[in-house]
Amino acid sequence: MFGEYKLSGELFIEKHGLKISVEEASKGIFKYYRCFQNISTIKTIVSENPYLGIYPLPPIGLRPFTVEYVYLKLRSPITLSPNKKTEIYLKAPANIGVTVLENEKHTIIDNISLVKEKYALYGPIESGVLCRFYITDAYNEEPLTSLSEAVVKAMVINESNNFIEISKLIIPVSGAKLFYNTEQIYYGLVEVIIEAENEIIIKHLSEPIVPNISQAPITIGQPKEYLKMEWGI
Amino acid sequence: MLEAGLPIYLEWSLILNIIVALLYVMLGFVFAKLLVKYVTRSLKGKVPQYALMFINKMVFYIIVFISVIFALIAIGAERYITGVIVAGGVLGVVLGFASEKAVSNFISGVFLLLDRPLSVGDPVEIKNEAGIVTDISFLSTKIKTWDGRYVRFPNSEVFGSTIINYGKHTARRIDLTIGVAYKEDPNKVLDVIRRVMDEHPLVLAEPEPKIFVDSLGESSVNIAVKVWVPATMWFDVKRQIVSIIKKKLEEEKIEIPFPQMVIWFKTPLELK
Repeated sequence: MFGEYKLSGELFIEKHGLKISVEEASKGIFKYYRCFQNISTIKTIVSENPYLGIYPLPPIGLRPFTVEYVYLKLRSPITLSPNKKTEIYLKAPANIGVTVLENEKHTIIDNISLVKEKYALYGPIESGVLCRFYITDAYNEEPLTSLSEAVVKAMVINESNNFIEISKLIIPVSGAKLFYNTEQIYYGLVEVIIEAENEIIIKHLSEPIVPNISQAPITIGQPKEYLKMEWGI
Repeated sequence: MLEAGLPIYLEWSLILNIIVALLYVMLGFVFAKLLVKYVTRSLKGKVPQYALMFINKMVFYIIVFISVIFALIAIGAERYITGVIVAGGVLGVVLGFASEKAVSNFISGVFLLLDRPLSVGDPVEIKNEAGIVTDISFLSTKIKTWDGRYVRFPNSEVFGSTIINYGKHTARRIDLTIGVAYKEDPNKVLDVIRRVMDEHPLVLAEPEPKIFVDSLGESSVNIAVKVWVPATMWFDVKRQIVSIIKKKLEEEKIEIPFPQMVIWFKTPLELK
């Protein structure tokens, strides 16, 4: 599904109930239709020689309400022993972005969320951060995901001298370029460094977590280098 | 030499000095504008908008003031500068007494900038007027009310009054009380409302929504709904959830009663 499609004549893509179609109304004028769960969007594209791009996008919401982080709540917490390092796989939301590509420049014309949107506050109400909220299990190996879900691989390093219980992870996603292959969407490697119970640094690196996956050429939002989880993990 | 007035060379030198003085003032203006642009670019996003506006105004007036001093020197009025400053000082004291309120507003404006109870763009309520803050200047604070009116408050009034800032915190709570008929199963009602809250994306999952039977009213069982939402979306979400709850309760055939009163007549009424 992901990739670039030359627009000439008609284009129809359907996957997991998401239908995208483009037809040329007249020379240089294209009608874009998108339908998911009986909600449809119609747009007109005026362009001479365009391509349509479909890529994963970070799930930061739609204007006027956008966020910069994803809050992954674990169904069952993980307890990590002192000075221990582990790898866990999680599922996280991802959006689908549709772009018009002309002269090697992408312009996002549609941003679709196929999983239920929910938001949560991490931290106190006066200074906490709003996040896209998602509940996930923790897996030992790469899980299978649905369209609009992504695989997250977190490298958790407990540098403290205490056992640490992990019940949630807050991942900076704004401005991150996600990865994809024909089957799945992937976040870049997530590094979680636990220095103490309330001193956790989370970095979302631009590093593919499995071989032979492509990085999306588009993203949305301002990049965030890291997040300090100061209100508990 | 002219028959009357100054010698020609003196006249030309005075004209030249006046041109130089004007140049100083013009350059001062241009430099002040450029410096304001530079300051805006350097500080944008690092300091609040209202503080940036305040700093810009200060920078602009200081540069213009310095250029005027240079202009006075250029026309040979330097020996008067001390006098001008002293006169300015005296005038300042006189004006200070005469414009006590303006001074009070200015000082309050400075305190507002230091205390930072509000910023440009915040939804606020000051002295029973609610709206969005559009400007905080030296002397006054302006808001655009929800119904589109322009309200200007002198800073001394803003500083002295209770300010409710609805946008200062990240999240804000919506409190609703929903009355349902006594015959309804409260657990079913709680389930319906809980589902509505769960399905609305902007009703925050954390802090967790609180939905419970709050009181037994005169005509209804009162259900309390306390949910947190992003502060910027409070009004929109409240409007939406009230209407969705009513619709869902109707779909589930749960009665929302209106107040009823049983009237008892001491003497039974007789129909004629």
